[in-house]
Amino acid sequence: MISPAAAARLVRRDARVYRKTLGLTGGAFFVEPLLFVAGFGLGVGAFVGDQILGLPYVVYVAPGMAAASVMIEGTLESAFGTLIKLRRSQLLQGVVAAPLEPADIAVAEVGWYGARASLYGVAFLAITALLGLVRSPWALAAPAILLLLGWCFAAIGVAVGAAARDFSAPTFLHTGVVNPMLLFGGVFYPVANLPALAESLVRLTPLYHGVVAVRALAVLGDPVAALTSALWLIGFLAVAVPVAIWFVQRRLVV
Amino acid sequence: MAELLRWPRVSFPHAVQLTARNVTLYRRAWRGTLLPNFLEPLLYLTSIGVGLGVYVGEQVLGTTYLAFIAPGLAAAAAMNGAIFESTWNTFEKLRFAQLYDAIITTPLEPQDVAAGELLWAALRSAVYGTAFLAILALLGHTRGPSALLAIPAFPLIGLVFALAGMIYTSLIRVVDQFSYFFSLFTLPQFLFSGIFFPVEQLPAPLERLAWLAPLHHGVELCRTFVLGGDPVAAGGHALWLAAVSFLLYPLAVNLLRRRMVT
Repeated sequence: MISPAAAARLVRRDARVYRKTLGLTGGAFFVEPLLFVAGFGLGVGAFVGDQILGLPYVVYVAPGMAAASVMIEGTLESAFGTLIKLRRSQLLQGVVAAPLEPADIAVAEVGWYGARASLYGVAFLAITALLGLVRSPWALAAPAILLLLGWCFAAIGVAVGAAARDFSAPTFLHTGVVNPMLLFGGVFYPVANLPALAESLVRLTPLYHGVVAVRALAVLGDPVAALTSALWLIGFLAVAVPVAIWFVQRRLVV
Repeated sequence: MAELLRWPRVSFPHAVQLTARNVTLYRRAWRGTLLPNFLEPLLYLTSIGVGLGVYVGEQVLGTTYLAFIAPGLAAAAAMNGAIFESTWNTFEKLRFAQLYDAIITTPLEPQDVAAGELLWAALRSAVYGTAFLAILALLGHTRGPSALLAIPAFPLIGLVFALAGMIYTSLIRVVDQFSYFFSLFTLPQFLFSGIFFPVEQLPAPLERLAWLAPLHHGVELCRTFVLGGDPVAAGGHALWLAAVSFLLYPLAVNLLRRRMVT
């Protein structure tokens, strides 16, 4: 049985450590997605015009990039973080000696990394709103989608970080999973432009549903489409979180 | 400061020994280490070239969008090869594995180590760029034998980035500081150097700034060789890359040397 109170204590610890190290890297989290939006949205947008959904291309790309930034942060920070806490510092081996069960640890790590990544996405979406790239008041509901999305990717990252022996698995997660999803997941153009097989594969990724939902809320003002995608993400979580718990448990209980 | 700019006295045979050590290691582990960085530009080629290319008419660029971005991505592949070597890998050997501490107890001097790493990084760029070019040729996206001239351009592109990466790596204290290098130096160049759209589309001040970006010169160089263009302008870009490498070389070697001996 998972104890929320126990899990919350580990989250508080993670948050305190994060505040201490924020100055090193945390200041520039929005730079990369903003560069992508400027480079593709404005630069390549000069060619694309309003051929996609009748929107200026930069307006099309911006909400997708908010979802993508949650994916990048959520997956990579949780995978590398969990691996380091289990193999290098062995912090979690210490934590499990306290009144926290492995399942509490897994839930806390997924919760923490996912929430943190979603905050990046929300902040980025706010920046794009200031730049006039948000078109619908339904954007106010987008943080809920970004939080679900953050947890989906954190669950993947924690599972990989717990299963990995060394840094090659999280590195592969970056080059073999996160980068392809960024490029093929519907951020830069509709997935219908892909070959049929690739399209049906992409529709099975959380990023695709996150991008569709955030775009539906922030630009298209279509809450029904967003709700469908949100339900898909909840379904994904229902599978991915138990998998993450299983891997953490296997690693901590010999 | 003056001593940082002094031309380093490198023993070429010793530098080559370090390069050979790296070649030996990578021959065993290339699948896990070389392949992932190589795949990234290939992903951009297929995703952006195919998926976004449908919106870009051929009359705009005189070619399909995929063929337009392909030579630029070859230059980016060369950049990636050198950058990962001179940043992460060099930092790892310098600080975590403390490999250089061991090496400089042998007849290799610190400046030989630095030069050997630069040579290896340029070689890795040549491998990445040439492999990418071979894929383009197989797909029919090159126009004639002038594309072969791009092969010597790859190590030239790689050398500038190896030098830049080595300078940065010699100056930072903790590994987290690399994120600034990639967010503020590498990624802006990747997106705004003329790979995905001509720099003439940038606002005038940014277009002038692009002239300072090594990747911009690499992209234009590769595009001229692969798609055809003005050979005089290509010579100018090659000269720019060579001149900047010449200026950065003593600084990079001396800074890394300082890190090894103090």
